[in-house]
Amino acid sequence: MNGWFNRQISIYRPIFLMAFMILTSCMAYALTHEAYRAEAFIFAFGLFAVFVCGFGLIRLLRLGDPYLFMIIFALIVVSLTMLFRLNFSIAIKQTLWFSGGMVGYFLIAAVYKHLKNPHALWVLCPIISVILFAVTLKYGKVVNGAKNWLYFMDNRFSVQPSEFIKLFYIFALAALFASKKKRTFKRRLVPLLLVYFHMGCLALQNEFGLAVLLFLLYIVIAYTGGKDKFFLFLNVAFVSVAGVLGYRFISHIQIRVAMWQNPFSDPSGKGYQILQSLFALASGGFMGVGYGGGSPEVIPEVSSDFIFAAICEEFGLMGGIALILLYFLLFYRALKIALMVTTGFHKLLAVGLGSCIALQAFIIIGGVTKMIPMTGITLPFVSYGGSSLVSCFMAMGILQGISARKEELADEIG
Amino acid sequence: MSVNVLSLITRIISYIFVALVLFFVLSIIRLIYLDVATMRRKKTKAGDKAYLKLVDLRSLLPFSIAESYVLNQNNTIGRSVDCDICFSDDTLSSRHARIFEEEDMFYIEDLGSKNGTMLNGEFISEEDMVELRDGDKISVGKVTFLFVEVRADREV
Repeated sequence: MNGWFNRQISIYRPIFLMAFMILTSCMAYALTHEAYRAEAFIFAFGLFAVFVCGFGLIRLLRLGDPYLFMIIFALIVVSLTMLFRLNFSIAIKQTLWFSGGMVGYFLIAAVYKHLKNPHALWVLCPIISVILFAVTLKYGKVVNGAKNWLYFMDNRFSVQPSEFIKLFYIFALAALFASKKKRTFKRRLVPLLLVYFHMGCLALQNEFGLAVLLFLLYIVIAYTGGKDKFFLFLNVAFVSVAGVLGYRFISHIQIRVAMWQNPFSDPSGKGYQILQSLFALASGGFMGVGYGGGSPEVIPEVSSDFIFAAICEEFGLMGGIALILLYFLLFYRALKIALMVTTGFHKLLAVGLGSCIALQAFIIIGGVTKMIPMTGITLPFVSYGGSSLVSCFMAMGILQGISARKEELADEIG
Repeated sequence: MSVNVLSLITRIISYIFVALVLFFVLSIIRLIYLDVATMRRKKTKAGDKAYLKLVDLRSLLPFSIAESYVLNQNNTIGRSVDCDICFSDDTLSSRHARIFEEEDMFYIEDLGSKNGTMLNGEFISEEDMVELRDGDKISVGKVTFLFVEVRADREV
């Protein structure tokens, strides 16, 4: 194969492109918001400095895969561009969460690189999950129909524990499916118990989107790691039946499905959100109405759940495709890392973490575009939400750490 | 009027932003593709007659390169992916040098490279082909390789 695609390019090219990305987004912001022009450029410069430092840190500490961080940072740039336009105070908060997440990312990657026998830690995971669930059910506050928020310090600081439970869940499942011990009936029951316990607790909190996500993750990990496919299909059948029963008896799910099938049945009430999202997608069209040109503020929850609609309105279908491609690349990198490590546990963990991000993106983008029923899951790295952002950073930090474990790599990455 | 111009400029900048994100994705896909393309030629097998070993510290080089390259009958060194030994050193020509085997001897020749090829610290002229001996140091671009030849009949 010949041609320009084959010519070697420098590893620094994405860095230049990132610089221009940040510059253009900051120019667009400065043009539409006259009050904060100088601050916007200072902020953009700081963001780029953080990117270069992060890239240097990965090279210097030999933290493995160089592309993972770049892809995540591109997502963050798109996210901050949109959030600063939607709501200034929220964007500032998100920036703080983002810096916290970055610190967590590098800390976890560096620690995980040197951790001996990390799979032995899995026993802690269900214990932490149980504690978090208990605390949430006791002290949690109900927001948007789901009881999943913990408030601290006079309601100034809030955390969504279920975002972190997700990580512990993946870790425990990967360890269980990777163990080489003989698979007796009792051993098979342990992961199932874990899955149904988590799903049950989430159902009690009225968080059905996350319950579905966790079950999909179980399917992915069991299909990749388990030998017993029949058992898996049995479980899928069981959960399908449970899902149909849930649809019959729980009004929360019925409303979501009804609004998915026909949002025009209640255009100013329950279908309002999804309809506004569809209007935003339609007015964006192929190329978008331009930064600051649309009116995504009319969509309720636009900065968290419906941010994809806002991006599609202002940057058009091309912007949406760019975002989906970034998720695709992230998922590809996760699978690549899974193929390169030699330990079964790390293969499963990498697949689990990668598909967690990919499935979340699929579920929420599908919900926003009315392809599947809407669920309250965040768009990883892009939606506003501190817990979600930090947990995504932690997940990718573990992935980065896995890719850095040189002794386990069959061949070096990049 | 000025409001219209402003919104037009913003719109164009938004288009550029999206294009840049897409270019960013493309450049990462290309880098990943090139990694895979170079990886295919990295595998070293037992019983190889001759190979090039990297002298420089690999971690200090700003591009990805293998620790050693096995030599076949005919090997080209260059920046192009079509070369048998390729790495993205910007001081390397796209087709830089060639190492080939003839009648049980290895020879090196320069393929008209811009920055030249050095053998044991001396430039080799363009029309020349120079015989290689075990332990010779070959410098191309920023890197230096050690030429290693494993042969039973020559170990005196």
